[in-house]
Amino acid sequence: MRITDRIRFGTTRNDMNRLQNRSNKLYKELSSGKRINLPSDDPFGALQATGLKTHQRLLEQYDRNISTARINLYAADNALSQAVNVLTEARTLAITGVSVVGDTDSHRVMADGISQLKEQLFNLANSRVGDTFIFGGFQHTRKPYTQDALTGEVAYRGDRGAMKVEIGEGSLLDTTLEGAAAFGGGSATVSVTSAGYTGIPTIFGAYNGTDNMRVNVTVVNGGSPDTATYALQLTGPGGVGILNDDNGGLGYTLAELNTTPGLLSDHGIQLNIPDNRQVFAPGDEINADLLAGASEDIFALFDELERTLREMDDINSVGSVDYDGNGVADAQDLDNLEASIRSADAAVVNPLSPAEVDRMVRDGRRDRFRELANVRVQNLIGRLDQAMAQFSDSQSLIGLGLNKVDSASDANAFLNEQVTTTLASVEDSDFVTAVNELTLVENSLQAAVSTTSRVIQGVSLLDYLR
Amino acid sequence: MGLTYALLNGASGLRATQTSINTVSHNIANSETAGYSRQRVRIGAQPGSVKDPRRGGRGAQIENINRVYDRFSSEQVRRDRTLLGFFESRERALFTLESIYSEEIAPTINGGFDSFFNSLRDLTRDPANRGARSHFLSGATEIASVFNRVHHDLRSLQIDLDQDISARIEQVNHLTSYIAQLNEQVVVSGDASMDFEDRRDEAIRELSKLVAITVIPEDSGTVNVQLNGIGTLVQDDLAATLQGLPDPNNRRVMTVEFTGIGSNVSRDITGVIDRGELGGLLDLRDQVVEDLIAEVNTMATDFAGAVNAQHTAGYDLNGNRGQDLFVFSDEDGDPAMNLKVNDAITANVDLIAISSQAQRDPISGAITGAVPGDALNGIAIAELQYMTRSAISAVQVGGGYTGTVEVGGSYNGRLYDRILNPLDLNDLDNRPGSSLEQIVLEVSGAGQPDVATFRISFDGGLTFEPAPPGDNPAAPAGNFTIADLNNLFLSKSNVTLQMGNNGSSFNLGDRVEVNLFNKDATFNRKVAETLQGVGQVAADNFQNMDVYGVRLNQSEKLRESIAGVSIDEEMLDLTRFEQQFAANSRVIQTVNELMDSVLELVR
Repeated sequence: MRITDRIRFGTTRNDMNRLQNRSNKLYKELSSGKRINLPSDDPFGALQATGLKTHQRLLEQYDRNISTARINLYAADNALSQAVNVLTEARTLAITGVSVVGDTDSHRVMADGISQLKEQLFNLANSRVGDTFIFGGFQHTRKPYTQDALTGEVAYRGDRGAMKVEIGEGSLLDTTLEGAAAFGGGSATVSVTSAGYTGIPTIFGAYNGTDNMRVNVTVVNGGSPDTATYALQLTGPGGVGILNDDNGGLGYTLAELNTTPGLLSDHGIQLNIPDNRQVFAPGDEINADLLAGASEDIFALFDELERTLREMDDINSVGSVDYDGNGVADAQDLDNLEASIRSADAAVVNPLSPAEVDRMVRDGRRDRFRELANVRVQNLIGRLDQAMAQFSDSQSLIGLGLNKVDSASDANAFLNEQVTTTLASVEDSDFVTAVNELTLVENSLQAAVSTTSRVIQGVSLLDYLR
Repeated sequence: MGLTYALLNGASGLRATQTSINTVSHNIANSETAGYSRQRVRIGAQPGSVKDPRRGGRGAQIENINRVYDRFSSEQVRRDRTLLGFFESRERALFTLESIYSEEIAPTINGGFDSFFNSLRDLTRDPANRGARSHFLSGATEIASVFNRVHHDLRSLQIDLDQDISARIEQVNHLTSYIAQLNEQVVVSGDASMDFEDRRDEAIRELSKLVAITVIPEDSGTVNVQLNGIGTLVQDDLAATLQGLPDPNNRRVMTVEFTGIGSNVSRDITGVIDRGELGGLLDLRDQVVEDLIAEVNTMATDFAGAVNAQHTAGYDLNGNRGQDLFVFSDEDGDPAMNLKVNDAITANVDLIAISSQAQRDPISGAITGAVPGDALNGIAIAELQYMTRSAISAVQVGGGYTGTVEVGGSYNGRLYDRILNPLDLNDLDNRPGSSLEQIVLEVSGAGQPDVATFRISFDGGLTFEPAPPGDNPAAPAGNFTIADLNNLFLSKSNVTLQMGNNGSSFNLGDRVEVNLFNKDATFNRKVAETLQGVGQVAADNFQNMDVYGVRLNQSEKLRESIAGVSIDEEMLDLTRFEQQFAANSRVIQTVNELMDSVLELVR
């Protein structure tokens, strides 16, 4: 082949261009630390890297979610442990209350103690992390438990839900709890403003998950004052049927609640009250309280315990205490006390029969009253134990959640490490190889340059023609 | 007079040598001229006269001056230039294209998806928090604006490419008229046409870089240049013209028009030019970038549809059903360009619907707002990120759900077109499994888990029936009856299934999933695949540039080795001719001396 000067220069120029391009790429790779700077550097690698980066961001997100869950669960666990302590203290007080006889002040002190413990419990039930009340279910923005300023009665305003976060693909974890499951409570009051009320009162929360729950519906005031207790039965997920009327409400019939099934949702239990034009009158109040089957209402329990202890105190001080406040401590006070105990006794579950109370009155009031109160306290201690079980159920739920959080956190950390390693192997520059190659390219470039200078100085006839 | 003959022979030698030296100097002077072919003087012996045989030879004469030209290597160079031109012209635009999809350079759709879904997950931790809602809103705005930007960048790239194309068209016109002009000069200059031919060859080579051409030499010395597959570009001293015209029907993208020689009617040849720089640019604009635009549009529709379907199933902070989160500012325009967050929601973050139920007043039963901690609908939206079938619509429903389920986007348009063109209805059965022919309806969760596959068909209107079991064994027809599906609507961007009153079929927490067939990627994966596709196009292009660059080098070397000027060779020739010149001069001197001797005799 004939070699002309243009070929000689052209060849070296092309070779040098190619080497320059290659070394430029290597410089870029080394200075950025990345093997893939544009998708065309390795299209499939770019595809992989994109997927891995998404995965990485997901894992970071899960970690953020996990820390929220962890904080909430720890706070709940802490609150429940403290609540158990409170309950234990209350139990000790109650037992002491039964065993101590005749000491004038001790029962009052105990009652005050119970009142304080209830206050503690109330604060624990309203625990929050940041702005989130952890025992309110979905209702995390307001205090789940409120206290009536007059009666001191505590009511649950949360619901049956639980806030959830994603801690892994398709894996959800509850970060709040239905407070009523541990602390109990659950009632609804409907004020009827016009005749012929129909509506859907919702009883928040408190359903313990079994199907033999009862609801006590009371209508008070103008229209037809009445009380009826209904047994509720699950008719399938989401449905509640109303089975029967336990103690024969008169003013409105079972059929009125029966015909329209209620609804059990995360939100609470909804009772449908159909058109009852002839039943309700303005000013009526409809109270719906969950009874059996619902969780033990710990605040009501404390109220009852406190009241009983105060009554025991009163019993001790009969004759010296002016119970009815008429200025004299006399037998009338004792009568009033009896009436009070009778009515209080009627309100408890498993009441003593009126005949039995009559017998006690006959047999000697004070001792019998004391006995009565002691039985009641014993009864309450049993319910306290029940409530303890409730708390430990909730605690073990939280324990499960915390386990889930820990294992998810470990799994995510492990995955993150894998993803990072893989991403690095896909995307990052292999420094040693790159440097080696750069050295090679630079050597070639050097060679090309020195060849070029040879070509330029080269052997030419021109040098020899004089 | 033999001496006079010798003198004349010497003179002819001098003349021939002078011409040779002149040619050598011409060669050396043009040794770096592009497209120059070295020239050679052919010297022949001038035979003696027949009338006077004793006179002997009559010295040397210049027969002609030729350029060294090899048709094969010239054509090789031309072909390789066409091949290389296709890829070389796109280098710059491909860098731009890559940077549109490159995460290091600009926010990408993939990153946008991630921030959208993750900001949503942040919100689900604290659903009632307005700050978290704004955070999510900015995530939603970001993904919308990334779609807008990618679409805008792709369109701008098309417009940039139009400028390149228009410059190439001008070059073609310039070169063809130049070639036509040179054709004329070659004819006029007759024997001295070598340099014009060189120039013409160079112009043809330039032209072949732009478009694929075939060159047919004519006897007259002119060349006829054909634009492959289209028609004659140059004939004699006439040239055809190309013209770039903005197409009003296609967003004013430029079409290439061809006006033949002697014609005044132009025709559109945009789709025919598929090689050379012009072909490369047109391919990039009309195939590569156009496909990417279509893809980003489909993706925007898919994404917005899927998110909206779930969002409208939820409840906002006021307890109302969600509105569409994403809307298109111009329903008829390109979806990716017009995608934006619903203005009503931008103005009021309370309207973000991430609760699965509304809060009711315990007393009146009236809706008072959303259940504050309930972010189940938000979680359901976030789960769209994992879903591998694109034509998904999963709606979590409450008890006795009735309503519509929208399957966002992903519909390939074929069925719709067929409805518009009833004539085509007949071939429906010939294409089973195309993306809309089957719909899978799946209910999972608390109620009655069930799967049913419906087959959509046409019976005058749009109807559906359970799919034959053979069609999709994995998803047998379930307990759903067709009665459960009341109606089905089809629009260009989505499919709407209307569920009848199914108080008994659905329960709270149920999930109704509707899947269209033939789709198999998550949103993220689809974007990543696009990125891979872009990278592959660019990588192939750069590789082809290398391959065809080397090939062109080889063929240019080959041409150069034949037609190029070698200085050494010319120096050698120069020395040779110098000596020849000296020898001829010596002849004349000798004859002169001899003449002098003869003249001495006379004195």
